[in-house]
Formats: sequence, C-alpha cells, structure tokens
Amino acid sequence: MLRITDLTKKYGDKIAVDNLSLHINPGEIYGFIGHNGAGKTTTIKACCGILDFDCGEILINGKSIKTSPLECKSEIAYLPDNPDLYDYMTGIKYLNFISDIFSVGVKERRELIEKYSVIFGIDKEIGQLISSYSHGMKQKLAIISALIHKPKLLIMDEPFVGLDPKAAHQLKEIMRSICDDGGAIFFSTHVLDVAEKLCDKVAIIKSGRLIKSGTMEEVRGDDSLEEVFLELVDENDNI
Amino acid sequence: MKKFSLNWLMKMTIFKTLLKKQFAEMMSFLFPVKKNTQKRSSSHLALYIFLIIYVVAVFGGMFFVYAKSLCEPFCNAGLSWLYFSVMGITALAISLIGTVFMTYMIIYKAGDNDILLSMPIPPKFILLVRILGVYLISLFMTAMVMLPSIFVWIFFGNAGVLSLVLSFLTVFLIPLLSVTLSCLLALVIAVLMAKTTHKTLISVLFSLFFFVIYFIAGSKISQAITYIATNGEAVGNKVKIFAYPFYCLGVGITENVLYYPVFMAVCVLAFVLVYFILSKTFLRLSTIRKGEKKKAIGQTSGLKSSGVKAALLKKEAKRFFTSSAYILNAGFGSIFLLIFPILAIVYRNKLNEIINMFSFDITPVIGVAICFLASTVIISASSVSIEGKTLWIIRTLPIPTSDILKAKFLFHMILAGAPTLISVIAVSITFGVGFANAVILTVLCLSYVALSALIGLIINLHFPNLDWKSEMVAVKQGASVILSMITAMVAVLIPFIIFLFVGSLIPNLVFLLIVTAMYMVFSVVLYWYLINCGKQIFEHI
Repeated sequence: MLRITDLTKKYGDKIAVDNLSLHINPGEIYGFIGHNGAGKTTTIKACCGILDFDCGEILINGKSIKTSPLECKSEIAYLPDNPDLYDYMTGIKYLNFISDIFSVGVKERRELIEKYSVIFGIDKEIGQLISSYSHGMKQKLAIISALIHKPKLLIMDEPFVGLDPKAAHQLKEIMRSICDDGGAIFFSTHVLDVAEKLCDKVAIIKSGRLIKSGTMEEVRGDDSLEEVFLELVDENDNI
Repeated sequence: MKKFSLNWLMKMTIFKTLLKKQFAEMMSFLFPVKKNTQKRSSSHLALYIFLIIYVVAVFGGMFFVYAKSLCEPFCNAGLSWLYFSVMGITALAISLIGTVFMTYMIIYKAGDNDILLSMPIPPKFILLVRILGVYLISLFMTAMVMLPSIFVWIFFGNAGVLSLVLSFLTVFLIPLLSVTLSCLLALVIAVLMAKTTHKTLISVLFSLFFFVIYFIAGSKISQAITYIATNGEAVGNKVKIFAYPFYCLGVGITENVLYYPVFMAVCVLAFVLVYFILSKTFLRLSTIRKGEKKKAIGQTSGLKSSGVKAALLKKEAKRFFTSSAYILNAGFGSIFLLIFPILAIVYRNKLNEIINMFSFDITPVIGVAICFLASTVIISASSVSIEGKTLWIIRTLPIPTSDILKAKFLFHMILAGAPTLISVIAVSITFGVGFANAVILTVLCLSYVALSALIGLIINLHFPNLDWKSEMVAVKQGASVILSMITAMVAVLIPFIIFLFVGSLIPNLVFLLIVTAMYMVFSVVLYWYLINCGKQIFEHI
C-alpha cells in the first residue's frame, strides 16, 4: 500500500530524514513514533506530496508520489496535527467541497456526513462557521473530511491530539474497520499506549533515522513499548 | 480562600510591561524583521526612515501651504482665533481619517487579546494600552497638520509665548478627541458585529460609507478652502454654533486664555467618558464567539454537487466574499468600474471640455481610464498568499495544480471583467464612440484585465506570504501586492505615453488595435508561463 524507500530530506545542512525505508501492507495499522523533531511530520508530508524530498522513492499502491501525484492523492487522505481549515466556510460547506473534489455522489455524501457527524458529536455544529469551532471540533471535522471519500490509505499526524475520549475511541474503531476492509493507516503519535494497543506494526525514528521497525511483538518483545522506546532512544544517544 | 488582588506596584509593573509590548508591536509593524534573521538590516531601516521623512515633508509642506492660505486673510480680518479653530478641525478630520478604520481591529481584534485576558491583567489596562496605540497614530497625523500651522503662526501671525505653548499643547489634545470618536465608532461596530452573522457585509458597508464621505469631501476640498478663506465671518459664526470647543480653542490661544480650559476639558472628559464606557464592555465584546449560525442537521438536504473546477471557483468566491479586508483592499476597483459610467454621465460635458482642450480623441482616453481603474483590482495579487496556513488542503487533494491556478485567474477575470465590460459599454454609449470603436475598446479592456490578472497571480507565486496572522497582511502588504499594482499600472501608462507622442501620426483605431494585440500576446505568453512554470512554483511553495 505504502512503500517508502531510502527517503532522505534535507533542510540546508540539516538532515531531517535520513535514508528511511518502510513498507505498509493493506490491512495494517502502522504507528510511527519518535521524539519531537525526529522527522515524523517531514516523512508524513513527503508521503502526502506536500513536501519535496531529496532522495528515495515513495510509492502508493505502486504509483510514485513524485511522478503520479494526482493518482496517489486520490487514494489517500491526510490529517495534519493542527488542521487549519477554511474558517470562512461552514462545516458542511467544507465537507461538500471535499466531496466535490473526490466526486462523491450527493446521496452518499449526505449519508456519510450525517453518519460521521453524529458519531463524532458535531451534528449540531456542522452548519456553523468553522471559525467558531474549538480545536477539537476542527480536528473532528478534518477527520470526517478524510473519511468521506473512503480513502485506501489514511495518513495522520498525531490524530488523537485534541479529541475527547469518546471521539478518540470512535476514531480507533473506524481505523480498525478501514483496515479490515483492506485499507491501511499510517499515523504518528506520542501516545505510546494508543500505539501499543492499536498498531499492527510500529517504526521508531530518531533524528531522521529509523532505529527499529516491525510488528508490535517484534519491536516490543516482553517489555512495554514505552520502555523499548526510551531504551532505544537512550542507546542511540550513547552511540 | 484569599482573594487575589493587585497592589499599586504590581499594577504599574503590568501596565509598563503592556506598554513595552505595544511599542514593540508597533515597531515590528513599521519595521518588520526578515524571517530568518533577528536583525533589521540597516538598509531597510534607512529606507523606512527615508519614507517617513518623505511623507512628513510632503504632507507637512501641503499643510503649510494650506495654513498660510488661511492665516493671512484671517489675521487681516481680525479673526486670528478662527485660524486655530479651522486648523484644529482640519487636524481632527485628518487624524480621524487615519484611525477610524483601524481602531476596531486594534482594540477588539488584536491577536493576543485572549492570551492577555487569561492573565491577571485588568482588562481596562489592556484596553488603555491599545487605545494608546491609536492615540500615537492620531498624534502623528495631528502633528502633521498642527506643527506646520504653528510655524505659519510664528512667521505670519501674532505669536506670543503663551499662544505658542497652548498651540503645542493642542497638538496633544486633539488626538484625544480623535481617539474618542474613533473608539465610539469601534464600539458601534463591535456591538453590531456581536449581533450579526453578516460581519463582512457590515464591514464593507461601513467602509463604503466612509469612502463616499471622503470622496465627497475630497472633491469639494479646494472649493471649501477658498470659501473658508474668503468668508471668515460666516465661517466663524458657524464654528461658534456648531463647534464651540474649537471656538474656545481659537479664542483661548489668540485672545483670552480663560477659554482654553473649556476646549481642554471637552477633549479630556470626552475621552475619559468613552474610555469608561468601553472598559465596561471590552471583555464581553472582545471575546464574543464569531459566526454562529443556528442550523440543524437537516442542512444536508440542501447539498449539491459540483465538478472540481466549479468547486474551486466557488471556494475562491467564498474566500473573497467572506473577507472584508480582501474585498476592500483588492476588489474595490470593481466598484470604481461600476461607478465610472455614472460619473461619466454626470460630468460628461466637463470631461468633453477637458478632452477637447488637449485635442484628444475620446476613444483612447476611455480605454486608458477604464484600464487604469481595472488595474486597481488586485485580487489575483494576493490569491496565493490568502491561502495562508490552509494551503495544505489543496496541496493534498487530487487537484491538478493547473486547475487551482486557473480558478484563481478565472475568479479575478469574472470580478474585474464583468464590471469592465459594463463600464466600457456604458461609457462608449454615453460618449457615442461608434460601434467599431466600442468593440475594440471592449476587447482591449478585457485583454488588459486578463493581463493584469496573470501579472498579479504570477507575481504572487514568486512572492507568496503565507505566514500571516491577519488577512490585512496578505491582501495589503508585501512585495506581491505592490509590484502587481505598479506593473499593472505601467502596462496602462506605457501605451498611453506612446500615444501622447505618436497618437497624431497614426489613426486611433490602428493604435488601439496594436495595443489590444500587445495585451493579448502578453496574456497568452503569461498564461503559458502560469500553467507550466507557475505550476512548478506552486508545487514547491
């Protein structure tokens, strides 16, 4: 579904991502964890076609994000960590706009908007201007906009930040059901508990380099993910 | 539980800290720091200082001449007091012009209101510091009028020490009145904004209202100055009745110092009263939630689908029409284009006289005038910048970049092209230019609109400003807007200047055809550049 090969991104002299390789199969929830400034957001943005990269390849369902960006983008949905949305639109107009871009049918979009806005508890606010939304409400709207066109690959940057417990639980259920239907999820998070419970595979990145990846069992072993993460990060500091 | 309270020392410390912050903000607005450096370059600073000196010199000179034209006749007629009354009223008007629009934004829409209000800072301190910011701007504008008038008084009037002291004191008092009026208006706007969902409409209507007033005042200013200078007695009586504080100002400086405290008291008390009223409502009005609509979920029944291109165009339209800053700064030219035919009809005879004086044919003049008005529509010049932090949305959607850019170009074309078309047709009919000339003018002006749209968009691609907190920065400031305006105007001026030299050598029709062809060729070239190179630039922003 998503294949990242030898991805390298530099900002001037600073190497933000250094030779990163990952492979996400259909049906997998793949967690991406690392400290602040490790290169998670850079990797995610490169996968979504927002950020150019210096070396390497990113393939989404066999298509290169560099040479076939439109085909790739039509199959993915991206959720940033701090979704700045069109404040001047109402929630429903924004979802309508996204639906237009993805050519979602009127009946289908109506059903999905109603369904997801009830699930995430913003059905009463959907007709209001986004400028009046709280951060959590914007996050929920962004999630709905990501789901409305039934993407095959959902790429999310810290999706649980700002969500209330109920919404976070709903999102986890939706993520699982997307993967059960053959889709895949690639998301970054600082909340290791969530990653541990939810993810099929996980990759740990530090200072732009992948230091460990694999299934949760392979990475974690008998310890908790947090212990493994802290140990790996400290180990790399000492090298 | 102990109640937290601020003692006098803490209050002074807080107030001083707020003042420093406000001053730093004003300095960063006037002298912005480049993004990747912490220092303002000395050349930038020198440029800004030069610009300020230039503005002061030009306007100071202008008001010096104005003051001199009043001082001599009034002093000769024994109406010295009227000189200071009129200069005081002028200073008030000028400083109001400078502050009336920004006061609402400064007081109620400051980006850090929420943060400051969450701290143990009395809201009235925050308000006072913001008002002080407005006062300083008003002081600058008042000084531009009053200082030249004081110099004129020294050289041509009967300046004694006391009158000089009081006239310098006036420089500091008039801004209090100006701030009072601006704050009152800001309060009215804030109350209206709190009650309505049509905020953009209110902003635009207020701005239009003031623009009409400025336009009428501006068009009558020279008549007014002549009238004032030659009818001192009648003007003096009107000032006594309708602007008594300014009567007291004038008499206090020139004849009887006991009148001056009346003027001082009015300035100070009015300010204190308005500050008191604002301080009672500041917290509520500055934290009111914006844009609430009471709509139930049944709204999904009204959903319609559009194609990608239509959706993009609708998005551009929504962006534009929900932003008063965007409308007023980038789209006002469209209103000028619609007003122009009306003015052409009203002043038809006068315009004909002027044109005949210079032996011009009317057709090219119409073309120049309409193209010049169209050059003031600069929607595309900030259409990339206005995306701001939401750029990620269209960058991550499966939309061809060329479609995104075409939508921005098309929106500008519609909003500038339609009024241009109406204007050309109406003015052509008014001046009876003939069918062939009307057709050429239409094609010429619309080609120009396309050219200016492309110029703006391409320049904005090269000089985008996505890091803004206030839309004003995106639509009004920055290299893109200024360069686009200048380039678009040059594209009108160059053919016009050529016409002045060679217009008598070739038939007007031929000249217009050549200019139209040039505009079309350049438009095609720039359109190619936009779709090919512009696409690459956008994808790497």
